[in-house]
Amino acid sequence: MANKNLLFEIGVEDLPSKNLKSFLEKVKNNIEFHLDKNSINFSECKFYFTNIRLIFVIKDINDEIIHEKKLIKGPPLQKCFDEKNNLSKTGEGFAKKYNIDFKDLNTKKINGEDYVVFEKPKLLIKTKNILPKILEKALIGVEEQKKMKWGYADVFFIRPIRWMLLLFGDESIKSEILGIKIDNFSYGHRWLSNKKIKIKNQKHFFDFLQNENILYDNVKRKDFICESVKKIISEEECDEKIDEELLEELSAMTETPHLYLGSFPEKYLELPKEVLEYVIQDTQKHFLLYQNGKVTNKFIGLSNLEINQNILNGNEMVIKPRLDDALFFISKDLSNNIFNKHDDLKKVIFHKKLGSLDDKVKRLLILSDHINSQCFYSEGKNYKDLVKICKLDLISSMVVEIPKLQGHIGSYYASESGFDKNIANGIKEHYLPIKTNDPIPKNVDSQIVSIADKLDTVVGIFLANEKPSGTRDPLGIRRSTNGILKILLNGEIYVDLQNLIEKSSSLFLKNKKNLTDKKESVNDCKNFFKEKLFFILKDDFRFNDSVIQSVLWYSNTVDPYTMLKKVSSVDNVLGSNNFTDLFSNAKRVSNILKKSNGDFSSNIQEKLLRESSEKILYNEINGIQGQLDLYLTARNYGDYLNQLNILNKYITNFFDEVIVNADEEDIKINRLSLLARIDNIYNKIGNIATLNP
Amino acid sequence: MTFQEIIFKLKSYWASKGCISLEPYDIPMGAATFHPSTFLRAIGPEPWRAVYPQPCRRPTDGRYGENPNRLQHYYQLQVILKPSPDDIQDMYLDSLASIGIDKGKNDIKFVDDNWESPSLGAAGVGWEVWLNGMEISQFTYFQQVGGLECKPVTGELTYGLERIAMHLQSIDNLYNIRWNEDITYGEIYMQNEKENSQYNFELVDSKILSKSFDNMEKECINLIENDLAIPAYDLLLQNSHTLNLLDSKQAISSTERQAYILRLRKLSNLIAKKFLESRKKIDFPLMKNN
Repeated sequence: MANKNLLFEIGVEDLPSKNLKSFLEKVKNNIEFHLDKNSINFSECKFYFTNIRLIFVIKDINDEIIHEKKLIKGPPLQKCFDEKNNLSKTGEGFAKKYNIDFKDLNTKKINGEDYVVFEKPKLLIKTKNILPKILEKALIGVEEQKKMKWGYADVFFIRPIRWMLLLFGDESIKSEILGIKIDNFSYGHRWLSNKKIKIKNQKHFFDFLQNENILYDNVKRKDFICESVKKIISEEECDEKIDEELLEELSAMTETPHLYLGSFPEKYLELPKEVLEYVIQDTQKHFLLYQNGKVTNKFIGLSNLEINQNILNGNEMVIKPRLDDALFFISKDLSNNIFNKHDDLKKVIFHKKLGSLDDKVKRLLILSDHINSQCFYSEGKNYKDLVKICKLDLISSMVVEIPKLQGHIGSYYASESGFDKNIANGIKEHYLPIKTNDPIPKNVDSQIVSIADKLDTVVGIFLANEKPSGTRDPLGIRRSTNGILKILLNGEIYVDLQNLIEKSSSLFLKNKKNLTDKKESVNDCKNFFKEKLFFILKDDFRFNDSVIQSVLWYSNTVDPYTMLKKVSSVDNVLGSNNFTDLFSNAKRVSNILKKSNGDFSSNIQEKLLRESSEKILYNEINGIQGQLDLYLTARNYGDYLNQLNILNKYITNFFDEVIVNADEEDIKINRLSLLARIDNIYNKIGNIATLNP
Repeated sequence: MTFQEIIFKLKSYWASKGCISLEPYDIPMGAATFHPSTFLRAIGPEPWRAVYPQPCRRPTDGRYGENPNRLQHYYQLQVILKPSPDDIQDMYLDSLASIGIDKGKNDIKFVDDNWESPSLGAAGVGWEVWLNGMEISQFTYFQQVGGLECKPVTGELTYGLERIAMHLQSIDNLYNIRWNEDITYGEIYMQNEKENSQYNFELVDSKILSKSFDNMEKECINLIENDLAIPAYDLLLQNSHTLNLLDSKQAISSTERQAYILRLRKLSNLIAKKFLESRKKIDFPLMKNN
C-alpha cells in the first residue's frame, strides 16, 4: 500500500468573485467528509482558485483500501425456514444482502444455537476507482452559490465547466464528473498564450502555471496585489487606506494581476466624495486614493495584462462621462430645488400595503413628537424640520440613478441650498447605523428621526403580516431593528418599546383600512426586538446566555438600555464569592413557591408571624424596602443587589428555624406570602433563581 | 474602422460560424433581446443561430444631444447561439479580433452580471464584458424565458456598437463616430436625438398612451386566445415601448409602473406558452438539423 497526492483542476468560465472562497471551503469539507466515510486516509486537503480555475490538492491518500476478512452473524438457522421447510423471507433476505446463494452460507453454533454466518472475504478497493464519485458528490452537495445550466448539459454549476484535469499520483484518471469528461489537459495564460497542454505529472502542472505567470494561489495573489497597491500609495504619499472588500473582489477576478496608477481631471473633485467613491470604486472597481483623509484625483487599477498606453487611456477615459453625468444630475437637481417638492413623495411607494413615502413622512411627524417626549425629555428641537426633508433626495435624479447615494446626496444638496448644518447632516445621519461598526447619529434631532423612521418601517412590516423568515426580510427590518437597539444602547436612552410600538401601530391603523388590527402583530414585533436584543447582548457585549435570559425573558416591558444595565449588574456579581448565597437563596425561595403552586400575593399578617427568625426577616425587609425602591428608580442595579445581599443571613436563619409548610393553613400561607414578597424583590432585576454562580 | 464596417465585419464573422444574418425588427424596442429572433427562438428545443443589428430605444436616456455618451436611440449587435456552444467565450474573443481588438493588448474582463427582464419573464446568468474598463458587451446564458425553463440554454451576446466604435476610433464623443468615411453619427442622428428627447420628456401625451396600452393589451389577449402567438408578441412589444414613454414623461408612479410591468409579464408568459404549443404542433421543424 502506498500514499499518493491527488490533483484536481476544474477549468470554468469566469466565476463571480463573491463568496467563492466560502464555496470552496464547503467543497473541501465535503471532500474530507466523503473520504472519511469511505475509510480513505489522507494528510491534508487544500484548495486554490482564480477567476477561471478551481484547484484541489489532497495529500498522502492511500491508493488502496483493505477491508479485512470478517465473519458476519446472520439470523438463527431455524428462522431461515418456514413450516413447510421452505426458505423464509429472513433467510432469503440475509443471503441477498451479501449477494450469495443461501446454500453457500455456513452455519455456526453461538451460545448453543445454530446461526447462519457469512464469511466476508478480504476486500481490496483501488482508491482511484472511487475518487471521481467522491469529488462529484462533494461538488454537488454545496448550495452556497447560485447555479446555472448551459448548452445541452444536464448539470448545474456556478458557471459553465470547460475542462477537468485529475491526476492521482502521476497517473491521469479517465472518468466523468458531473457528466464532464476528465482528461489530462490544462490551459495556460488566457490572454497571451491560451495554450492547451498535456500535463505529464503534478510537478509539470505547477511548473507550467508558473512559467505562464499564473498566480494560482489565491492567498499569495491577494498579498501580491495588496503589496503592489501599498507601494504605489507610498510613492504617491497618499493615505494607506485599502478597501478590504474591493481587494478581495479584485483578487478573485484575475490570475495575472498587474497594477497601475491612473487619474482623472481635477475639476471633478468638486463632486461629493460619495459620488466619486461610487463611480471609481463601486462601478469601475479601482482603489481611490486619499491624501490626509481627502479624496484625490488618483486611482489604482488592476489589469490582467502588463500595462500599456491603451489600457491606461481607456480606463481613464471611461470615468469622465460617468462623472459628467453626475455633474449633470446634480446641477439639474439643484436647479429643480427638490426641497420644495414635498408632493412628489406621494408618487414614491414605501410599501404596497403601507402607502407612499408622503404617508410615511406624515406618520413620522407625529411619531417623532412622541419619541421626543418619551425618550428624550423633550430635548429635541428641530427634528420636525428634519422629518420634512429627510426623504426628499429620493426623488432627485441622482438617487434615482444611483440609489446607494440616498442620504449622502440629500445632505450635500441641503448644505448647498443653505440649510442649517445639523439639519443637512441629519439627512444622511438618520439612516445610521447601517453597517456593524457604524456610529449612531450624533445629535438628538437625528437620533429621534432615526428611531422614528426605523420603527415605522419595522412596525409597518409586522402589520402588513410580512415579518422576516429565512432569507426573506422585506425592507431590511432586521437591520432597522438592530439600528434602533444600538441607538438606544449606545445613546443610553431609556424607553418602553411597547409604548412606542403601540403608538406607531396606531398611526398606521388610523389611515390604512386594509391592515388588520391584531394584538399579535404588536406582540410579535415586541418579541422580535427582544430576540435581536438578546443577540446584541450576547454577540457584541459578550454576556452569558443564561444571564441575559434571566433578565430578558422574565420581563414584560422591553427597555433595552435598562436591560443592559440589569444584565451587566447581575453578570458583575454572579462570579463573586460574596454573592453565592444570594443566588442559592433565590433558587430555594423560588423552588418552594413553585411546589406550593398558588397565588401568595395576599398581604403578610404580622400577627401570624410566630418565630423570631420570621419576625426579624419581615422587619429587615421592611427596613430596606425604601432604599431598594430608591435604587430601582435611579436604575442603580449594582447597589440594589448589594442591598439585597444583606438579607441573606436572615433568610438562612428563617429556613433553619421555620417549617414553611406549617400544619395550620393560615400560618403556612402567611409564610409563603413572606417568601413571595422576597421573590418579588429578586424579580425586580430578573429571574435570578435560574442562575448558578 | 467605420461604424458600418464594424457591423459588416461582426456580421460576417458570425455568419461564418453558422449564424443566419438577419435585419433589425420593425417595431421599437428597448433592447435587441426583444427581437422575436431572440425572445421567441429561445423557447423550446429547436436550435437557432442568428446575428443582427438592432436600433434600441430608451426614452429616459435621452439628453437632447447634449451628453457625448448618452442616447435615447442607439445600436446593439445581437448574436444568438442556441444551444450555447462550449467555446462561446473563445468565439466571442475571436469576433473582437476580427474588428481589430487584440486581447493581448487590451485588458478584457468578464465581470459577473446576472440579467433579468421582469416584463419578459426572463432571467439569465452572465457577464458584462469590459474593454479597458468600458462595458462593451453583455453576455448571457438564458435560464428562463417567458416564464419557461430554457432547454437547451441559449447564449446571447450583445455588442454595444457605439462604445466599440469610440474605442476603435479613439474618440470620446459618440456624435463624432465616423459612420463611413464621409459622414458622422452626429450628422445622421443629432436632430433625431433632439426631437425625440423633446417628445419623450415634454410632449408625451400620457392619456393617449395609457389608453393605447389598454387597447393593445385587449387586442393582444384576443390574439393569444386565437392561438396567434407571433402577432400577439408584436403588440406586446408596442406596449413595452409605450410603457417606456410613459416612464420618461414621469407620468406614472413606481407602483403604477410595477403594475404595468406585471401586465406585460402576464402577456409574455402566455405568448411563450402559446408559441411553444404552436411549434410543437408542427413537430419543431428546425430539429431536422440535429
